[in-house]
This record gives sequence, structure tokens and C-alpha cells, in this order.
Amino acid sequence: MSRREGSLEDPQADSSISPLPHLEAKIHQTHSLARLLTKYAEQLLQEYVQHQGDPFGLPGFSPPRLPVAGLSAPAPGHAGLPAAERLQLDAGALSALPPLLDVVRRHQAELNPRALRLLRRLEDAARQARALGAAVEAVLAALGAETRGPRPEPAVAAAAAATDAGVFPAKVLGLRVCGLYREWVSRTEGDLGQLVPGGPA
Amino acid sequence: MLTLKIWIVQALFIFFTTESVGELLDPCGYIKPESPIVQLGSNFTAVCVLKEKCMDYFHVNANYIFWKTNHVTIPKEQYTIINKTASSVTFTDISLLNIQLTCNIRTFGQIDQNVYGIRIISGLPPEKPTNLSCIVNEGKKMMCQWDPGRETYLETNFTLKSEWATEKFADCKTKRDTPTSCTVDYSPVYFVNIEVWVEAENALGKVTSDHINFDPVDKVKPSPPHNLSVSNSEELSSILKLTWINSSIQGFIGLKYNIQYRTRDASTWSQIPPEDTASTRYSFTVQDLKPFTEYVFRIRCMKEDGKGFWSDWSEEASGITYEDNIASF
Repeated sequence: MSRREGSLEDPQADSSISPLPHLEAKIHQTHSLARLLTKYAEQLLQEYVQHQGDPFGLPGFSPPRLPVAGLSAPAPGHAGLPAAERLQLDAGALSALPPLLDVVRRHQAELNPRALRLLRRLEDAARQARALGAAVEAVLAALGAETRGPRPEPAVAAAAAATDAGVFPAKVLGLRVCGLYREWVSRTEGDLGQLVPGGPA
Repeated sequence: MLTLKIWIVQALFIFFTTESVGELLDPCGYIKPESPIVQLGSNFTAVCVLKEKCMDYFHVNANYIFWKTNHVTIPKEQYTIINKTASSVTFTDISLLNIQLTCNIRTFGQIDQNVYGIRIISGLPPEKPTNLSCIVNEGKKMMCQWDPGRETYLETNFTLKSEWATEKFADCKTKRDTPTSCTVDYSPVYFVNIEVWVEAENALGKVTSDHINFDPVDKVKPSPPHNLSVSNSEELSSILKLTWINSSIQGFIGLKYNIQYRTRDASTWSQIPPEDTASTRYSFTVQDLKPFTEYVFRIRCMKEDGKGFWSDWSEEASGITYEDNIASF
């Protein structure tokens, strides 16, 4: 389907939704942003692992993939949800990630103060997650769907306090957060890709 | 000896004079305003106020005040005696950029004394900056430039402001040697619209440019394609195949190209029809060339939809078409 023809059809979407050309452009732009951030998130994760030392980065190392401050990875059934609901979950996760990334950056500023590029990537990731989250919410609003508000701060404080217990927990938290960031921006890219004209159904 | 005597007399005069009025550097009065900056073409009034001590010692009042600008006495018609201690002077339609203004008194009928001096700086408020535009050189930070408007004759600061819908970025303050452009301090993020504007401010006013709102991906000047290489074909003596490597930006935007070529001794370039190179590619076969001839090629690229800027030209690369097999018989 050409970008100028018809409407964006998602078989799982509300049939009353009729995107305008401006909405198409916004979806396309946000999808491009998600794709770009997925690439950046991969780079961030690799760089993070490189700076933590052993056992991080060793082939057999796999810490428990527990929720962080109530934020889990995308559920296995996520792809089967209606488009609006998927995007709402994406927006919620993207609004929860920046404070967690800030906590990780503060920890890394103490643990790896000379890892300037890592610190900058973490700072950029928080900013970019906020921008992507806002863009997804704008798409949701244009689609006439409800948006999800930001998560409460106390969850982040709990995450920060829990890692005061030591260096290793702090490093594991950072690994988990960077991993969640990658998973959610990649998930967002996929969900938006289904709304882009000519994208997968 | 005479010089020494003159010096001693002057020193004693200063000593006794200042001893009479108190501290060594206590002036006889003051001028308000102290350090004015006024708009060219406007009117300006300064007031000189004499101190009581000075008036008593020298037996003077405001009527004894005369004003000078740059050592030239101002006509009395421009003075106004406000009261016993104060005299004002008014200038209309100021046109000089830098005026030294002094308040003086004639003491004892013949000795002119300086009471106080100020410098009047004049200039203009800034005009609204115009033609604001931005460019993102691939791999570098965004740089914006603008037309500053008229000369103000004053120190005028320009600040580039930028923000997303979700947050504001730090102000970009221009440097003295480049007052009409600024390179922001943060890395560009493509696919997020940014709003940018310029504030101009000096002592006489502050003004803001129009805001522009754009996606930085539409302002990119890509790095040129590199590793351009040329290979010939034994089967076809009229073709040469070009290959190159695109810069990393091709990972998230489509590119279009200009490919130009000439024979080694030619001075002008021919260009492949742009419609033939209108989307991302890594090679191109140039046809209809002369056999056994050396050609030079260059290539540049930009965003596929035409938004942004052309890259610089690549390094040139050359190749020689194969001999014409028919002619060699």
C-alpha cells in the first residue's frame, strides 16, 4: 500500500480509527526513531557489559531476569494484543525507563567514572526514551486511544536503595535496565512497524 | 631643577586642595546617570550635583557649572539650572557613539576645575534575527546560523535556544568571533522534532527570532561515499562499473546520488541522469563510454527525498575502458 493511499489498517485495531496523512507521517517518524533507538540500545548494552568486568560478558553468565521496580520485559502475549493496547504498554514502559536509566548512570558514575562514553550513552538513553515515549503517546492520542501516565517515583527509589547493598547488585541492576531498555524499544519498533503503510500485518 | 620645583608646587597644590575637601580622591560632585547607554537618535539629559562642602570652599553654586563633551564646551542654551546645587544638560538626537561628558566649575573667576566625568555610550537595540537555519554534519553536532540584523554598535549577545516537546536543552551562547552561528552541545537525535530560535539582547533591548521546528534528519549533510573504485569489463569496452561504500547514515535513511565523470583530459564533468541514482545503492555501471579511454569519477549523496544537504564530493577514482575487441583485429 502506498503511503498516500487508503488508511492504515490494522486488523486488530478499532475499525472507527481513520489516520490522517499527518498521523501517517508521525507514525513513520516514530517508527524510524524506535528503529534508531533499538540500534543505540544494542550499543549501550554492549558497552555496559564491557565496563563491568567478569563475570559480566562471560558466555555462561545469566543473572535472574527479575522485574525491576515493577517493570517487566514485554509479555509473551504482547504481540497478540490490539495495536492500541500494545502501544499503551510500550508508552508505559518508556516512561518508566528514564528514571531507572538515571539510577544506573549514577551508579556507573561511581563504579566507572572514566567510562565517559558509557555515562553519556546512559544519559542520552534516558532522554531518548522520554522522547520516544512522548511520540508514542502522541500517536495514541491521534488514534483516539487513551494514553498511559508516568509511573510513580517510589518504585525507582526502591531500586536505588536495593542496590546500596553492594557493587554486584548495582551492576546486575544496570544490566537488567539496559536489557529492558533494549527489549522495549525493539518491541515499540515492532508495534509501530505494523501501523506503517506497507509494514507487516 | 626648574622641573623639580614645578612638580613640588603642583604636588603641594593638590595636597592642600584635597586636604581642604577631605579625602584625596573625593570629587566635588557627581553626574547622574553614571554610565549611560542611550539609543542613537534619542534625547539624553545628565544632571551634575555639587557637594555642599565644595560649594562652600570654592564659593560656587550650580550657576558656575559648565559642561564639556570631548573637551568642547557645550552652549549654555542646553543647560538647565535645577536648583542651587544641580545643573542639567540635554542632548537631542544623539548621533555620536562614544561621548566623554564632563561637569566643570569656574572657581575664583578664572580657574576651571573638573567636577566629574562620564562616558555616554550610544547604540541601537537589536533587530529580530532572521533566516535562521540549521545543519547537521553527519557524526557532528547541529550548527545553526542566522542573519543578526543591523549593526547595534553595542555588545550584543545572541543565544540559540532549542527544545523538544518533552524537554529543554541548554542555551547555546555564541562566541565573540562567531556571533551569528552556534553549535549545540548535545548530539543530534534524528526522528524527534526540535524547536529552535535565537534571542538577541543588548543593553537597549531583547528580541527573539521566529521559531523553526524540524526533524534533524531533514537537515543532514551526509559524509560522502568512500572507497569509490572503478572496474572495467573485458566483454564490453563501453562500460565501467563503480562501487563504493555509503556512510553509516544509510542505515536509517535512504540516499540519492549525483555521479559525475569526465575523461582524464577534459575540464568539464558529465553527470549521470539523477533519476537513475535516486535511491540507496552501492554500485553503478556507466555505459556508452569510449573504448580504451581513461575516465575519472566522483560521487556525492543526500537524503533520498531531497531534504537536507548534499555531501561533499567523494575522492575521485579513475578507470580505463577495455580495448574494443573488434578494432583490435
